[in-house]
This record gives sequence, structure tokens and C-alpha cells, in this order.
Amino acid sequence: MRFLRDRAAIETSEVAVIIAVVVLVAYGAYQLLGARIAEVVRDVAGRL
Amino acid sequence: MLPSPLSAQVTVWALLLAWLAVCVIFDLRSRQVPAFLTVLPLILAAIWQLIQGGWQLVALVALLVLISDLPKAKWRIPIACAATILSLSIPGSPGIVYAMLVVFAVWALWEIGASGGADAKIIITLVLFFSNGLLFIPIVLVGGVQGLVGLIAGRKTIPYTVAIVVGTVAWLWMISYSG
Repeated sequence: MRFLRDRAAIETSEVAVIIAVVVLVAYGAYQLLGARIAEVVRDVAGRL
Repeated sequence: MLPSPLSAQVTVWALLLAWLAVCVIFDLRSRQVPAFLTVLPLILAAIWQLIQGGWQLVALVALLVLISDLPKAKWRIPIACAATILSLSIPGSPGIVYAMLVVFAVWALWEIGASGGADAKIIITLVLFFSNGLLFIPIVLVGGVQGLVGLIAGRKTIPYTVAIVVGTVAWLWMISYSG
């Protein structure tokens, strides 16, 4: 159980910043385009 | 007399924050958190999630733990992707879907060496406990600020449990405020 045994509580500063930026961009895109994406998916599902 | 639901919730949140505080102390001292402080809460949160009916989320966590022991490292992430897609195909609430995505992301970050095992287990425990992956957003945002401060200060690594506890407090405040 390699995952359960790992006790390291360390994170690289760069990685922490990159993850935050990626999550922020993804969340922003979802907020902006989420409704439109759902509409397109419903349209495609309707045509099928 | 039975405790009111509100006082029971406050007690559980206080215990949760006390556990996180102990993890932060260990992290700041040695950059390690003992396994009993992460594995036992993970098991308890998995049992809680099973009681809540989110068995597919618990199954995904168990699968990822097993996949991390596969001898061929290059196959671990593709197999974990397949396991996550399979888990997502099982109907569940939106909260469970976000939770699965976060569990996979956190595990994958650990698998590629970008995150510590203790941090990953603590975040997965919180996700299992709250049945909601959106908790990850305040944690990573606080982590981003912490990482930025670390970079400016010239520190290569940061104790991420600090971001986890601050992000969790922010999350608890947000869910309390939204009712």
C-alpha cells in the first residue's frame, strides 16, 4: 500500500501556483460557458 | 437528551479542525504527517461516505490505492483514468461527480510526484467526508497564494497542510453562509 504508507507532506511552490491557476481558469471557463455547453449537449442529444 | 443537529455539526467541525491543526503541527516540524493521522481518518471518512450512499466514490478511492501498487508505473495513470471514467458512468449526485474528479486529480498529482502522500490523503479524506469536490477550489487557491509567497521568498517547497486547513475553514464558512 504505497499510497497509504507515504507520509510526505510537501508540495513544490511552482506546482501549487500552477494548480491554482489551472483550477481558476477551468472554474472561470465553466462559469462563463457552462450553460452554453449544456445547451449544445442537450441539442445533440435531442437530434440523436 | 439528544444533542441538537446544529451542536452536533459544530462538534464534528471542531474535531475536524483539531485533526487538521495536529497535521499542520507535524508538517511544520518535519514536513511529514504520521500515517495513523492520515490513514485512520481516511478509513473513517470512507465508512461515513458508505453510510451516506456514495459507495462509488469509496470504490474509486479503494481502486486508486490498489492501482498505486501496480508494478509497472507507466500503466498506473491510464488504468486510474479508466477506473475514474467507469466510476463516473455510475449515476450519482453532481457533488459525487465533482468529488470523483478531485479524488482522481489529487491521486494523479501524488502519483507523478507533484504532491505529498499525506497531503493527498488529507484532501481525499475531506472530499469523502463532505461528499463534495468543490472543497478543493478554496484549498488550491490558498495553496496558490502560499506557493506564490514561497516563490517570492525563494522557498522551493511549502507545507501544503496550511493551505488545506485555511481552505477548509473558508469552505466551512461558505457553506454556513449559504445555509
